[in-house]
Amino acid sequence: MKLVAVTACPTGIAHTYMAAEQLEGQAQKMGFSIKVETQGAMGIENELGQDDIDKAAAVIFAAGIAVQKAERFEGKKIFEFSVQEAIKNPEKILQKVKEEVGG
Amino acid sequence: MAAEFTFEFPLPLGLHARPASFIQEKCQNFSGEIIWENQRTQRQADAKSVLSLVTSDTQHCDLCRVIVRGEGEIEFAAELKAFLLEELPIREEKALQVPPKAEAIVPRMILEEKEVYLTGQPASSGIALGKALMLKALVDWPQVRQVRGQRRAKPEKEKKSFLTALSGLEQELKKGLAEKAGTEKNILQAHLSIATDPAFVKRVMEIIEKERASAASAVAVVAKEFSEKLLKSQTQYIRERVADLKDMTLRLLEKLGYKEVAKKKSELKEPSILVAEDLYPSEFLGFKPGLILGLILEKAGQTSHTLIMARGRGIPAVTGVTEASRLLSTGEEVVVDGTRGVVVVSPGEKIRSYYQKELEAEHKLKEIRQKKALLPGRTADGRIIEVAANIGHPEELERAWQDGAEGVGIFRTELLLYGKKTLPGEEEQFSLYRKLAEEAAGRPVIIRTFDIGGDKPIPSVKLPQEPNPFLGYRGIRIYKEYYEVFRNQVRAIMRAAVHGRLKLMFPMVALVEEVRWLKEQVRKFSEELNSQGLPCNQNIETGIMLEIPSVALLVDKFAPEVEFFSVGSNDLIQYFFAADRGNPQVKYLNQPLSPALLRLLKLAIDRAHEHRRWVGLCGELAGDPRLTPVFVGLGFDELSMSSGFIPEVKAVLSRVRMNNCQKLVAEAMERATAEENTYLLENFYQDYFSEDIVTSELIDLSADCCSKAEVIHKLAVSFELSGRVDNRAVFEQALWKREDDVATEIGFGLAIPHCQSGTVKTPSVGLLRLKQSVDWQSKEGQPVDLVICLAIPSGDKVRSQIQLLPKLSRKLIHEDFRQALRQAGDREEVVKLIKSAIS
Repeated sequence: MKLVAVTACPTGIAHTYMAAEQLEGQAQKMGFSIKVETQGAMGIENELGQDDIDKAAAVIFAAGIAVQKAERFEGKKIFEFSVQEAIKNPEKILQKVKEEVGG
Repeated sequence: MAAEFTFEFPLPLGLHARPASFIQEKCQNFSGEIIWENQRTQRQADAKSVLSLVTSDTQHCDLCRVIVRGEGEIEFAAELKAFLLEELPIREEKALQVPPKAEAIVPRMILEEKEVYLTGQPASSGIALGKALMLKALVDWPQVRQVRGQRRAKPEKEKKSFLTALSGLEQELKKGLAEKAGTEKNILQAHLSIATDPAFVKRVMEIIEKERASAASAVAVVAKEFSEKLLKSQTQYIRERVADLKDMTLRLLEKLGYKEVAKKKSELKEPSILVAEDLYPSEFLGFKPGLILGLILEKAGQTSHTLIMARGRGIPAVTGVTEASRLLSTGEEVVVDGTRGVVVVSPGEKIRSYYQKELEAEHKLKEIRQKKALLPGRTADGRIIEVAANIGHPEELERAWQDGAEGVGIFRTELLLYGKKTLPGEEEQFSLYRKLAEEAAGRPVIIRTFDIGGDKPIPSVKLPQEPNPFLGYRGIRIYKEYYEVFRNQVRAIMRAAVHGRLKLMFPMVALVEEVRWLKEQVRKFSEELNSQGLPCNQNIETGIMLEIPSVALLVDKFAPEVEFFSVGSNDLIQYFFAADRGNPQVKYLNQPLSPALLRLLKLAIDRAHEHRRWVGLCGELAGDPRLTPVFVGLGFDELSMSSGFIPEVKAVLSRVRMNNCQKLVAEAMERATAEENTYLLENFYQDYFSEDIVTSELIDLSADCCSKAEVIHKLAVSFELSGRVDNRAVFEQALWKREDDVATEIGFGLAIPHCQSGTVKTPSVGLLRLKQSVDWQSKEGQPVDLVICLAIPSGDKVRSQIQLLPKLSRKLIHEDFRQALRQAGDREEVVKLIKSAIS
């Protein structure tokens, strides 16, 4: 299964990246492919192209603030979590996505 | 019959003045009697009297019995019970949510410990703990004593005059209420509720009747009685009521014909913290230096000379503390936190320990400063810039040398005159200046002649009242009228200049013809002295203050007349932007980084250099190390400041290069606003002052902290001690702001407090391993034993370094990395681990 995710938090130097790291690590364990865009103090990094988004089975937001350029995800199935949840329990998040999307 | 109920008092701060007035308001609607009985203190109170309620000394969770008698007692008792348990706590909470003033930073510890505190603006940094001394106490009870004990034969007459005085006061207060708003209205409201308080009135009448006391005497006696009861209470908040009571007593006594009991200045006998509405420089100087531990002022402007002197002497001060002189009283233990703009009243144990750590931090910072004081006044590439001290009194010299002053950039001689009935004559001044010259031991000392007028009125010189003294008759403008004063001083300086490197400087020059006149007089004095056979330095180096913009634009024409210029930044800015420096409402116009001001200064300095004249800066701004690169870039030859700032300025000087600073100024002059330049300057600091992201100073492997608040404070202190942040208070606040969004505990026993803030000088990482785990106050959070603090500056030129922090954050997700951090044997190993994680 292909997934995309966006992580973001108020200061953008810590949680954003920790959440990204967790989601990437957990996806690998569960055999999914995932691309995580970070929106932090460095601006948008590892930006999701329209192509990435179109091909994804689902979108995960793990954010403490509003996600920028949210219009890219119109029409997609979006799972929203807090950035803390992504850090503390990435497995639960991916399990939930798996159950709902299948795959 | 009576209805009654018993309940536990719900308010954490106890039954103090404000909730008492809410209860009184509520009970007023009931026609019968309501008795409040505190089961713990065994005191009874009339629930329709604020004073009576307050003196029941009811604390949080005290069991209270309320007895209601009269028509509809059962219904009202039920209503009152509901009010006390439900509505009262809500109203009290709302009343407590008055936000502190924007500029004060209240340490989290104070809020968590529910301490009583007042806020103002930080005015002179540092911490002082000591006893308060009210300089203008409203009423001192000992002085009221003289009124007490008076007897009168006709009680009816006395009762009548008391009631007349009371209703007169009531009318005044009501009239005031209609006109006032905000805090002032609240005060009047409080006064009104005392004036009309049934318990107070009843007791006064009783004493007049029983003891045949005069009305004034009865008021004084009852006020004292009530005040003592209030003071016995455990609730600190009640002091507010005592101040109101004093205030109202005074006004009542005034109405009864006793004006002489009012206001008398206290005397300073032991080291104290002075509390006053404002303090004139003369008053400040009237006290022995060692006796002032700190200052709490209501109204002093940041650039008032009293505060400037307090900074010079390293005396912590907070200003803008509304009602300080009403809320505090003599002898009370207070903390003055001049770094944060906070005053803590009767601090508890945890706050004492917090400030103990603050004092230790200040002490260590002082040691670091002393090392910097020894640096030469020179840029990294060797351009010499003299770093000098501003002084107001020869006594300050010793401290100035300790701080590393290379001379005196301005001796404000008019400060010698404060509090003196007569002006010092030529001989007296000569011996003083001579002593100064000798003590300076070859270092240059610029003596600025009397700048009388403006904000510095001198009792011995009677100047006419004018609507706008800053723009009026002051400085050299009065010298023709007060020619002898001028003559005596200049002659004294010229004579003393034989004994050391004294220089002469004139204030408030606007025109070339003024300087020509001054120089002509100097020549005349020197001829006089010669013919009198008194040795003098005929070629004394002479300069003028550059504080009026007209001088800046005509420096080339002034140059043939003078040897140097010294910029008085406070006055120059105030005249340039047409904004009174003491008026808080136009404070935003005080813009040292304004491109307009920079252009003016650059033009003036370049012209002066073309004519081989040197230019100094002797205003307060010179002491701001953040601005040092700007002043270097502008081309100043000398920077003179309150000596306390010298070490930091020298440290910055030793690290900057001329060409970089010049480039910075060239860029800043092309911007449109001061704000853009603030940003520009922040980036400049990033480019030239960047350091390793982590050093062992930032690591503590066995931190002893009992709470999250202590952890955050410890981090703030260690970041300032290692030079990572300018101001630990601002940094601490920034960390808390992030914690308040969502606590940064992320599981695994790890918390990562972090922030982006202007006070952070360079991207930094700190690490604490805690001896015992603490609760990080997060939802469903686990205790934390490993804390990693990430700090980044604001500004956009730091990308390359900020990039390192996300790398570290990602790494922290991995158990093996955390394990390594927890097991590392020493700080160096931790530094290595972190560095390798981000490389």
